Amino acid sequence: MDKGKNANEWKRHKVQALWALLTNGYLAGFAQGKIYRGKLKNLCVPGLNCYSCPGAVGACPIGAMQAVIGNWNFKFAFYVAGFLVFVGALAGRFACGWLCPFGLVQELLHKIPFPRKIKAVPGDKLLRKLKYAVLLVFVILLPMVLVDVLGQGAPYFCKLICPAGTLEGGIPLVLMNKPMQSALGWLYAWKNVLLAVTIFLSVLVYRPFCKYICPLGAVYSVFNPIAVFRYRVDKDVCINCKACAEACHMQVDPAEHPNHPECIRCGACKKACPVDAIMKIF
Amino acid sequence: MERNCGNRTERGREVSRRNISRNNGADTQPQQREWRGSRPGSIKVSRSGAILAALGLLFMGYGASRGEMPVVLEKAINICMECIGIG
Repeated sequence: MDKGKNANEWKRHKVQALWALLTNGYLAGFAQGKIYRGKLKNLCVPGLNCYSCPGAVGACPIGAMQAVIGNWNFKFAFYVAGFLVFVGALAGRFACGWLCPFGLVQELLHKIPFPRKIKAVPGDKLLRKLKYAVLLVFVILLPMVLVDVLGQGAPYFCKLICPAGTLEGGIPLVLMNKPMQSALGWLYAWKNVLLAVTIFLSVLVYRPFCKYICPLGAVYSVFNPIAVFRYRVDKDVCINCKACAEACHMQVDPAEHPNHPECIRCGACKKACPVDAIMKIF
Repeated sequence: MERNCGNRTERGREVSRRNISRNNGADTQPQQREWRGSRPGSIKVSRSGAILAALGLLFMGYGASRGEMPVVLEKAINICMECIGIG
């Protein structure tokens, strides 16, 4: 059983790793300390993937949304919002479970043995709502309202919170660029502290950033119940053994709520079900 | 322990058979199967997903037509100092 569960998990990790490589395939960027400047960056990727990562060949949808909202010319990002609605309406949080590089990083960190792993964080239910507040305040409102004399807003989520940007963009670029090293200040230190906290918490808690902070997960979660790709539970077959709820790292009870907003479609519940009562539907 | 038996599908079929035979007993009224999530045959929910996906595409097209893509590109091809914690 555990062997099957692990095989399933590693299969998913392979897909995640392959996708991360594909969307961060500009290897020359890592060698030269530069970023890709081609036309492909017109397009967004479905996961949280900093466009200042030296290997990134696409645009992070959260960064892109802030860039358009913060632009003096626009106050709403139809292009990026449309992309998020499209991806969300097709598969809900599937992208979180299968196509997000930062999700993969957190999952691998969680595999590091630790004496006491935390399954339920105190105040978990309330903390899960935090990501919606982050989306509203840091991704939408602040770039829209806090503007400079030219009417341009900064990407406040990227600037003040995003640990993916520090890990994928900040650290490699600063390591390879001497002039950048001389420009480091309190912001870089703050972002590294946030990254260190995220890394440490990821060892203890499964995907803490996705559960509590990620604005991209917040957007996709809204679509889980109505997405084209969903789960269905056959209650005639279900024996209520709760094996699925036990297997779920996101603390969802799939037998009761197969399309819960927190479900990242990892498939652990499907694999754990002894009677194959959970089905994918399109 | 039971779920470690390794024959998951067989067990599922057995449970289904039991339920079906229960339903086909003296009571000749067809029993409604109970589903969580969406019922098979009911495509109302997935239709709304498809409509939203189409709406998303429309939004993307509209956004692109009013010049949002160059803004995304310009931000993405230059190192975002805020994102990496310098600016």
